[in-house]
Amino acid sequence: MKENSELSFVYQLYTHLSAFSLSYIYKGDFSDHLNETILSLAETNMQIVNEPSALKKKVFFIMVESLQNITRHTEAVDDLSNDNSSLFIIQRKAQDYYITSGNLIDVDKVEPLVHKLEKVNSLDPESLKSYYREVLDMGELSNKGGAGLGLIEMARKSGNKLAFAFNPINTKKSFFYFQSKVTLSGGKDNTLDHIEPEALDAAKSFHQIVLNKNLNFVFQGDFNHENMKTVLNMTEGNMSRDNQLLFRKRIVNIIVELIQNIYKHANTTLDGNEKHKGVFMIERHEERYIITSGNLIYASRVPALTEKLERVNNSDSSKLSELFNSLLMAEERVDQRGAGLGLIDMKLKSKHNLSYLIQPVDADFAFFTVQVKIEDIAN
Amino acid sequence: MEALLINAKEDSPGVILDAQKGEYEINHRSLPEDAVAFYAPIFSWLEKNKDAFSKRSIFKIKLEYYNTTSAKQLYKLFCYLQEIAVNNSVEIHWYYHPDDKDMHSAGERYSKLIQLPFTLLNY
Repeated sequence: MKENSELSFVYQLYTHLSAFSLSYIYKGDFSDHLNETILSLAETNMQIVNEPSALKKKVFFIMVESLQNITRHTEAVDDLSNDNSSLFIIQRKAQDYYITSGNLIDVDKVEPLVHKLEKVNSLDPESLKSYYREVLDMGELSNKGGAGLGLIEMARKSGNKLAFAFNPINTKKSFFYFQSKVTLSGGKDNTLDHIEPEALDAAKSFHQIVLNKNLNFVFQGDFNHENMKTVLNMTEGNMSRDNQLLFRKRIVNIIVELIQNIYKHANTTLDGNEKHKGVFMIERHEERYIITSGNLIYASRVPALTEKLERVNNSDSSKLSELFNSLLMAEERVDQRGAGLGLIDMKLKSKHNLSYLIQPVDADFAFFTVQVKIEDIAN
Repeated sequence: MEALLINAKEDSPGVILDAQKGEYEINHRSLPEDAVAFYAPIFSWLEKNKDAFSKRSIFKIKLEYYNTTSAKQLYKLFCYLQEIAVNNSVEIHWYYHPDDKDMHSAGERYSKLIQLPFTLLNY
């Protein structure tokens, strides 16, 4: 089996997101467990980059509000089309965080919502404060418990105006994008910063790619053992109890091998400090998962890697098993960067060949994408 | 002979190496960041406490799952035990969930590579 050129979208996505040091998107059903793991994934990453605690608190607050907005205000989808699933995005650029939520709302709620958002955006921090009290006193509660207080607080805490857009779906529903930019210094000036339309556009186009490729989860950034554990926790919490134990375990196995592969072997072009940048994504169906990773590698490693991949793909399961044994028994060498056990294991567990693509980037680097498909069938 | 006891974590196994009680076990799951570093104290304990195995001993492996770098360390562990067993008595009990075909075949794989009494058991 040769390289799979359909995987070229992974490098495109990687490049598209490279302006951000972190990008994380989740599309699908939101539950309390999921919200917790989304928060802990963000927390882990903020800890790793050592963000000031004031910024962490702000980001956390905005994330909680955004996630609550999604769970509280999403309208039921009547056409069952996956494309209208709610979504959550967090992205980091320099020391700014962009937090975006997306969900379906009734068209008759659009106007009152726009009115609220524009009102909030028209005020400076001082007037926001008094408006907050005013709304609190009036007890202007909507039937779902949101008083617009959340929006006011998000503007105050983020120190920025609220960005939003609507994407009409049909005569009854519209998809509502809502973005807050959180800056460390935000909220201290007399005025709130202006909205950056390009940041909202970036989130929308990220969403579009995710829709086109039918993805449920994308994480791009520095990979390490801590965020791998969170990704595992999230996936395990999200798996259907109807799926067989073996299927669930195999998914965990594959995620571990792919992410450990990124944080042990990804090479980085820039700045020389040991970071392991990569992109990782999951396409989830009831009985089928497609798990993909992509990262830069040194061009000098391409021939050896290609040989390993081809050897794995050209071997049947008994030959793979032999190969596995011989690598298992081989002496450990300190410089042995991955014996290839992981690749063999993924093919044995998924029962599929490994789809891969290696694209040249420049004289020194290539981009390596590998994709594993696994089905919940009784064997 | 001091026991080596390591509590299980979300990514690393629980370890019991207790010569006094005659209990030897690795349980939970094994996907640590650095498997070589994680297993090193186990090997040095075995190195120091070979005598513990002069009476018949059972070493239990009760893993839910493990990554491929841990697979290599498990092989190394069995090699250590195999060497100890030349002058002592060690058996392996490999536990697997009845629905977990992968863990069963992993046990079978090791049992063929290692010259030790090797029993596969459900948990």
